[in-house]
Amino acid sequence: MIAQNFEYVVPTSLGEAVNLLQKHGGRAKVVAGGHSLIPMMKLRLAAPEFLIDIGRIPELSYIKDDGGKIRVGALTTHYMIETSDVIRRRLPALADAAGLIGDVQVRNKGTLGGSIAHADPAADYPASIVAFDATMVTLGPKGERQIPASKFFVDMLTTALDQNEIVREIQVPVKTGKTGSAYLKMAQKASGFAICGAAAVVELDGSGTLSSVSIGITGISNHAFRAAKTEAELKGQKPSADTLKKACEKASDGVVALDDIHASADYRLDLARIYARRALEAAIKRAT
Amino acid sequence: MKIEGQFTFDGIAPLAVWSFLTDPNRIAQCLPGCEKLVQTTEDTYDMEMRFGVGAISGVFRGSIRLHDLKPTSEYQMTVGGSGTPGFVKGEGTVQLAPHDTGTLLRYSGDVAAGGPIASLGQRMIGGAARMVIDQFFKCVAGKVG
Repeated sequence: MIAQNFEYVVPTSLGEAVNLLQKHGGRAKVVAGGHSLIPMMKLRLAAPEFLIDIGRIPELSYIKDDGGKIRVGALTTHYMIETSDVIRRRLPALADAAGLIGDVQVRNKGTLGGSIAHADPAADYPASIVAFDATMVTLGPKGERQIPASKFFVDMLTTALDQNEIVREIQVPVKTGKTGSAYLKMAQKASGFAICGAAAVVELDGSGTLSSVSIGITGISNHAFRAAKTEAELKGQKPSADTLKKACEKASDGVVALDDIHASADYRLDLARIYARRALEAAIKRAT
Repeated sequence: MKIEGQFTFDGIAPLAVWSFLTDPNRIAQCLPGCEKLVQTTEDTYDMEMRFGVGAISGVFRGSIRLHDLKPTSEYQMTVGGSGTPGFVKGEGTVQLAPHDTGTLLRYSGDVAAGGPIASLGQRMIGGAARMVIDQFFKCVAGKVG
């Protein structure tokens, strides 16, 4: 199908984009790589009157290693993240997620900032974003704001972003010492979207005990969540196969799962338990 | 696709919830994006809803019929509508029961969708419906209480 008519605006800075958003209110949408919004517009599920293309603002595409944290510009493409040495070495779960998104064309055009701002319940990044406890730096009419991952994903396609706010940068803290992370997913065959995706980030102390564990899960419910009970049970434990399996039985406790033609709610909840365990095993392997 | 869930109205008796949910003027105050809700026959209402969940938006026009009313405890609802994102039709049951000092409402239904929303939106319809339903009941609780 062909999208409804819209006006196309190309600001040269993020500040200008925010001004345009303010001017057009709810009638405008920001587009970056265009791989979530444009398909929706073609199906006329979305019909913004103004399309503000921030995809050509060059200074928003970067990956910087600040020692304690990695800063990723909002317009960094999935391909850049997938192939970045810094990300692969220090945040492997994020590189895993980027490499599993859609197909090569999507990965060449789609951006990290665009994906998380769209907040598709089956998107890959949110699992890693919540597991790493990343911080979203945003720009709005009142200036810059930092939103922690735990508060960012509010509901299906809904984030903590205000209407006139745009993601500028994603900051991911890096653990020191023996640390590893991994993201695994079961994809829907046709679309590649996650029916279940799990990211695990672990840190081991000298004796091989889990000094820190976090697990983020996407695709299961309206938005990504942390498997808090599993994390609490594993912290301070030696990660034997039995311990992991038992703790992951609680990975989707209390979650209201999505239910659609691809997977029933019960099946999704079960996938969450299994993928949480597999992601943990992969993360631990990388840490040792 | 099946949609079901429940909502607790603390400190609000079933009768109060019932009178709200069967009064079109008051329902309209709480239906997210409802632009029009008019009674056409004894139990049928025409409605127009501006629907928006994230980037998805559209206008739905359709009708709601409330039938098999068992005052203060149960009614059936038939909904049908179409708009730019496709069509939606569904049938469901709403049940009210006293719960502590309030009311426990349970809903269950079957929803079918067609058109663009079914191709891209299929995996999101359930979640989006739950969001709208939750917003609706929260608003009702605020207005009745």
